[in-house]
Amino acid sequence: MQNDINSTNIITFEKVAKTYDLKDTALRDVSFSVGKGQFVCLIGPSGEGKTTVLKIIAGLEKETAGMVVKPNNVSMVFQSIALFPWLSVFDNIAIVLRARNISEKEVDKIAHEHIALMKLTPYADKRPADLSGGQRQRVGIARALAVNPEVMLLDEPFSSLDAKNTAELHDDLLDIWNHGKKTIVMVSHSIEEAVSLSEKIILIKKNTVADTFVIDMPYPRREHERFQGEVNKIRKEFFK
Amino acid sequence: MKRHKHVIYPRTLGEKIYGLFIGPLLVVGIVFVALKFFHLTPGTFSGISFSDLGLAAGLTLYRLMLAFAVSLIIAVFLALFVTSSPVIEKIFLPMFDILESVPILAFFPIIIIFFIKFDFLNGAAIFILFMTMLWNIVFTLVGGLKIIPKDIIYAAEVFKIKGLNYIRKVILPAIFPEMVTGSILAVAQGWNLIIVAEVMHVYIPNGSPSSDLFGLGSILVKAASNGQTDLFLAALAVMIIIIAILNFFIWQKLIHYAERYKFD
Repeated sequence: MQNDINSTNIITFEKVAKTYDLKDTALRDVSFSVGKGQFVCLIGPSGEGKTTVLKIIAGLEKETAGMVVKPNNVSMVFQSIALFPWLSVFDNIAIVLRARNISEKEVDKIAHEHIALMKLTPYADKRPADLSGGQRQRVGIARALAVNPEVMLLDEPFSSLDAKNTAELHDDLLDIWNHGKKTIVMVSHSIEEAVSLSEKIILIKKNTVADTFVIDMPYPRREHERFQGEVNKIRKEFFK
Repeated sequence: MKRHKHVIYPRTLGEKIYGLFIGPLLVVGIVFVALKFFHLTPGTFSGISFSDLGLAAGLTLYRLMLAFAVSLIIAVFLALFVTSSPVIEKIFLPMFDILESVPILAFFPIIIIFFIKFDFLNGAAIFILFMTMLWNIVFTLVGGLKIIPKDIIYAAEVFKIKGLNYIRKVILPAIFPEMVTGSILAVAQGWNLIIVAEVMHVYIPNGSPSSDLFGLGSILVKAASNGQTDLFLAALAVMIIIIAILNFFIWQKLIHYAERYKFD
């Protein structure tokens, strides 16, 4: 599949396959690209390969066949959030910075900057158990951003949050993307979410790329007259 | 903070007072009523004074805690090793299962003979306590390592928390609740075995009671076999008080503290 965006690609998948124990196919013949600074959403039915694509980009899985080009500095926001419950908000961010041998002064500065960015300053000393679901996911995003990644991956990050928290985090994520020009690849189970956030949507069905949609619409999109039309078009392909 | 019903931690002042004072005092009271019943006077017990009992308690605790410390350290290494890869787990976990099932007391005479050569009978007692405690901790830790959420492992990998840092800052905290549970079980096992571990002469060829190790376990056995009821009850009371204090000041505090290390 040809890249349809005129920007430098930061991620390229070329005929990528992934099998487990030589028989269970997780991905087959997957080709797509992600341009630098792009916001891309992967959508598709459950268990048909979206998260495997994300894991390959994150370096958590290795492709069985094909070619993958991806940067080294990748961070991830997990569906389960995956914070360390014994650490405070500050330390959950500091631990990933310390792993990169950053000086303690810098760790302190960067961690507090990202705590403030995600509106978590009053909770800096609290542990994840003392936070709401939305606040925890904010810590997850702050942690992912703190390492200044070239690509930020998000695996269904809002699936367990209520509508209010989800809407707030959508706005924050778009702000981060607009200001930092980070490349974002997000797995989502919601077509509406994908259309409201991303520039490109990759539909993964039956373990391969079934279709790609470029969303050219100004933000905020939910009230835009073409929003529902785009959602319906993708939904038709999703259920085909 | 969520309260977990299954954690028996004294939270109210009443529970704390009961745990620290009233519970142990009740035990001591029962002991002294028993002494009265047998027309015995407290102070010295069949020639053994309170301070001797204190020394015996100190020596027993030293053996138990040294064995516990060594078994905890080695158990952490063994648990990390056996879960380090599926192949290693397949080979070594069944081996650990067999080793755990072997009754360690069957080997006690050989262990004693080995330590006699170095004139270090304390070593034999500590070794047998260590072997008894080890597997409790190993298997509890292996269980803990297996329930660490996959995303926590992935997060450590994505954020490049590697090597010793990964063990120290992710794995060990993640299994801290199991470390506490395993330790409680192990030390309880140790108390069970201390009676056997200190009464050495039974296992030494032509051994006499003089070769027993001085401690609460050996005092209990000697007092029981000589019909020294006062000494037996006094030693039992000291043992129960120590167990109650350890429980209140260490184990309950650790159980409470371990709550913050648990995953949702």
